[in-house]
Amino acid sequence: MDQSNTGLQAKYQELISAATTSGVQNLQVREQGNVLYIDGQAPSGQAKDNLWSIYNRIDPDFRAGDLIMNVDVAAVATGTRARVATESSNLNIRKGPGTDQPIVGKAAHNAEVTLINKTNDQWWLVRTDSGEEGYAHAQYLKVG
Amino acid sequence: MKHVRIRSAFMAVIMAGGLFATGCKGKNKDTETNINTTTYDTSTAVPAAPVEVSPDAALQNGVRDATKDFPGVSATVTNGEITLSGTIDRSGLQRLMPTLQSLQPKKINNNLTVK
Repeated sequence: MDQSNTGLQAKYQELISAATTSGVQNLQVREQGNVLYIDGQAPSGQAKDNLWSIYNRIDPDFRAGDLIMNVDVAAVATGTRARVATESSNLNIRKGPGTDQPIVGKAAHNAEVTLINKTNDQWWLVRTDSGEEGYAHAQYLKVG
Repeated sequence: MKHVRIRSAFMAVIMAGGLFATGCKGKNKDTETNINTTTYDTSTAVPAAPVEVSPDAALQNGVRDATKDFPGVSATVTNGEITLSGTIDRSGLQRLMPTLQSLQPKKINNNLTVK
C-alpha cells in the first residue's frame, strides 16, 4: 500500500466508517491506480442515499475522479413496492433491459410499482398496478 | 537398548513435528476465515481480489441507458474510463452518478458543468 492510497482512505474515512456502521454487507474497500473502490450492498435505499450524500460532501459534485462507489440495495424482495422517482415524466417500461428495447408500458411519475426482480443494478423487472410487466431503469425507482 | 531409546526419541520428534505442522495448518485456515468474515478495519491491510472493471462495450450500453434522459450530457468510454462533458443540473448529477458508478468503470472523469 503506497502513501497516495493511504491518503485516499483518509480522505473518504467518514464514508468508509458510515458504510461499516450502517451495515453494508460484503463491504470491500480497495485501491487501484489512485482510485478508491468501495463495493457492497446497503441494507436499505435510505442507507445508500446517506452514503451518497456523505460522498458528495467530501467530493462536491463528484469532481475528483478518485472514488468509484458501487453500493446497491441488498436483496430487495419480490413484491417490494418502488416509487417512480422521475423528474416529472412517466417512466418507460420496456420489453428487455436496455433503452434499445421496445416500450411495453408506462408508469406515472410518483406512482408505485411492484418489484419482481433485480435483473442487475441498472434494470429491474417490475409490474405496474394496471398489470403491465417489463423492465424499468433503476435510476428512476426508489425503494425504502 | 540404548539404540532403541534413541529411535523412540527420534520418532517422538517426528510425531511432535507432525502435530505442530497440523496445528499450523489449522491456524492458517482460521485466519483466512476471519479475513472473509470480519468487517472492514482500516488499521489492517486486507488482502483483496483485484477490482473488476467492466468491458467498454458493457460500459457503453450502460452509459447510453443512464444518460438517455439527460440531453445536455455527452459521454465517452475508453479503456474502462467514462468521461462526461456538457451540462446537467445538480439533482440530475446526483441521480446519474450512482448509476454510472454501479456500472463498474475504472474511473469517471466528470467535466460536466453543473447548472
